Amino acid sequence: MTEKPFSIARLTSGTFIGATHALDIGAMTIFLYCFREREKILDLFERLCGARLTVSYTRIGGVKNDADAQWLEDVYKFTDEFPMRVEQYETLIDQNRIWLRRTKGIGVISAEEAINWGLSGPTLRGSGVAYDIRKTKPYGVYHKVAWLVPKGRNGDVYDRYRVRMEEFRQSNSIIRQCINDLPGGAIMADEPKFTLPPKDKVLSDMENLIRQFVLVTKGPQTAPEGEVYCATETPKGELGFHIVSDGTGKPYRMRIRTPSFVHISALPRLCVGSLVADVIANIGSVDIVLGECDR
Amino acid sequence: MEPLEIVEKIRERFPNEISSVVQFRDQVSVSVKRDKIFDICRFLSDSPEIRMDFLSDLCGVDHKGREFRFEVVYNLYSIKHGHRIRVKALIPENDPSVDSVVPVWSGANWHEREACDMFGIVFRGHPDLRRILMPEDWEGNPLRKDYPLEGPAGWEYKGYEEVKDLHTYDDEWRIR
Repeated sequence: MTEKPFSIARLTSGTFIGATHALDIGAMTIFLYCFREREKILDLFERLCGARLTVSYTRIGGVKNDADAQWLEDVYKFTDEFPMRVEQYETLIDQNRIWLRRTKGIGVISAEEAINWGLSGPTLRGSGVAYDIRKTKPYGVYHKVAWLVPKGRNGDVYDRYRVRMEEFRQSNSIIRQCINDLPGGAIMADEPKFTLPPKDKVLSDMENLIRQFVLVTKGPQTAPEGEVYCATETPKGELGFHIVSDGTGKPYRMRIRTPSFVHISALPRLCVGSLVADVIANIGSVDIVLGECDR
Repeated sequence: MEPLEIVEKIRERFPNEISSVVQFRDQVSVSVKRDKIFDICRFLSDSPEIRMDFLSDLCGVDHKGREFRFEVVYNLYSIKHGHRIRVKALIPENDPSVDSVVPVWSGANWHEREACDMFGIVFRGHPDLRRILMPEDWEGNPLRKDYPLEGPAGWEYKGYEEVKDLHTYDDEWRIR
């Protein structure tokens, strides 16, 4: 259930990066094409949970509200036409001579070096390393769906772009499989110490009212004592949370390892040997977000 | 390779360096003394059967009140073999410094700068150890547990009065 929004979010991010990356290098048309699909995806988000960008749809132990059948049908309809759109993007720039000159052989990084720099996500896969946390340590339902990890060969800007385009198709297929096999049932785990109770019970039952009150005003009161590092594959790369807990409801130390932070640190290396004008191509190809870098 | 086997390999190679091993939720953390951390990291990264080539994360932790106040945590992953381990270097309060691992993993560069910025841990041999998130003339290390929540020590927000005195009135717009 929660997996689907993630994959859709991957498409949003993908259309955005496809759009802005191309715009940075000077291709205006694809920017508008990508934003057309992006708008549709954001509309779907809005219908699901009321927000377009910062959806805040997942909760500890589940999601906020259920998706109705009509919504699922519309998402499915969207995935029907999306592969055709991706082809459209590709016809726009894949054979474009300016695009090829701006991206082929620019920002080349070998597989060993990319690993050594800690690059992850499509940026690493563009160098030919098939490292995807959804495959190596599957979380959610990624082990139940069939999909492939696309990878590049040369590790240049063009290959990173190709990997992202291929990921469109894979994500699209993941979404379709999820909708086909979507089970019914509860949307929230029932863990009194951590998850909110269903709203109708709050209004009719004293215990649940107290539970809701404590969780909303004070938050969870306990957590197991210990230390974990947990990583997920985001559209940009490895997003890791290192949490040190001392047994109380608030983490003693929480460190967020974001892909953009690492990717920007590797930017000086990627730019070696190319022109100043190619810096922008490199920035686009590693897909950085500065808010994520600062945290 | 199982994480505990890797711990045994470290113990074989560096018999006196490991101070504790903790297993929690299928993840193993090894606390080691800081003196040979560079050699341990080099060993973990280069020996063919372990080959921890991917530095997932490097961060500092402040355990105020413990014998070793700071920890530098290295979350390592092997893309070749697919195993994970967490190594922690224990650092005392009176001399918060540790060898830099940038020569082993280039990606450690900015992580170490952030740990230095936030905790004041000095990474010896780092190529460019400047502040990274805070302004360069900032005093103090914001993520230390004794860092005052209201701002630097001695500084106190006096409320509106202070701001009012600083304000120069603009004659042209006649704002009073």
